[in-house]
Amino acid sequence: MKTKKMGTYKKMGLILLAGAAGGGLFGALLGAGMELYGSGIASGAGNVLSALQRVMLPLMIAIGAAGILAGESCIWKMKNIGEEIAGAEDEACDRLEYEYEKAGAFGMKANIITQALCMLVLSTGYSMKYIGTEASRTGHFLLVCIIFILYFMYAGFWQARYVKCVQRVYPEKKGDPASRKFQKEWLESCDEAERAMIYQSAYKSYMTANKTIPLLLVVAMLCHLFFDTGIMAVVLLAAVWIIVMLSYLNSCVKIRREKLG
Amino acid sequence: MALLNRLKEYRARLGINQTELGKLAGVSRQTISLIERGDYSPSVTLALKLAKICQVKVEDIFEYEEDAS
Repeated sequence: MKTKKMGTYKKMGLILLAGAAGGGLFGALLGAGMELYGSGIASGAGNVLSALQRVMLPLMIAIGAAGILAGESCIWKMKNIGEEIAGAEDEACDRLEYEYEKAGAFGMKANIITQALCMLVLSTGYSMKYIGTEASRTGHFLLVCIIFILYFMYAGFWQARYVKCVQRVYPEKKGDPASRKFQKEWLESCDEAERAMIYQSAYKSYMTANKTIPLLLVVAMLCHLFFDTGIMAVVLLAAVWIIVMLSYLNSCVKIRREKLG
Repeated sequence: MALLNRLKEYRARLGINQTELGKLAGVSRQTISLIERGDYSPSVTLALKLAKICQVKVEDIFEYEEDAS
């Protein structure tokens, strides 16, 4: 037992040392790169930002159109598969339900990704410094904001339509998407196998967040170190990391306490 | 650990499909399908419910088989 523990600590020490060495080497290379190309990278980033500001309107329209196209095709596909499910035999139902899940997941992914992209595009001009300039007028920033709001409204309604679409095929699924209790009501209407699947996926998401957030935090710190991008990204990522960790750990303790009675 | 089951066989004896058995047991058709394929081990409550519906003992439907390793 003791030998095993020693092995674990030794392995962890080696990993930390390798991490420190790798980090040092990466930092040195990045530092040297910055010395050589720092000003070029900074001006390149500036050029990319102003180029994005110039094409903000067509970019926002393209993202919105892609989101609507993906969303509508997904709903159409779900409706068709839903009709097939209603009259299908058990074996065929398994395959159709998988197709249904896949189509729904594709639509939801497109919905979330396009919303995030819209925010990214909008944020290139979402600054008082930019709004006050002539470039914001020529770039039709106000129109970009209107399209952004309209697309977000569409995306919200699409999510409600998606839920209603699922509820038409599976009437046992409860919950009003407009209600704040929707997630709770939906989960309560799921049976044990469905819940097990949701919990498995939720745990996988937690693990992904736990790996991704610290990595992004390091990237944000390095960007701040070399490009002076500001501490806000670091603060927000640190806050997200703390919230995710605390939410998981507090939930574990709460469940244990409830089991104690 | 493997949980073998003969749920499909007992369901066929009752002459009902997965949707109908799911309704009787208060679960979805997918859950019945997952159990029949051995992709999901039901809770004791659900196993007892299924046995009651099929009018047999739980051990008649579910069989625990230890790993050879």
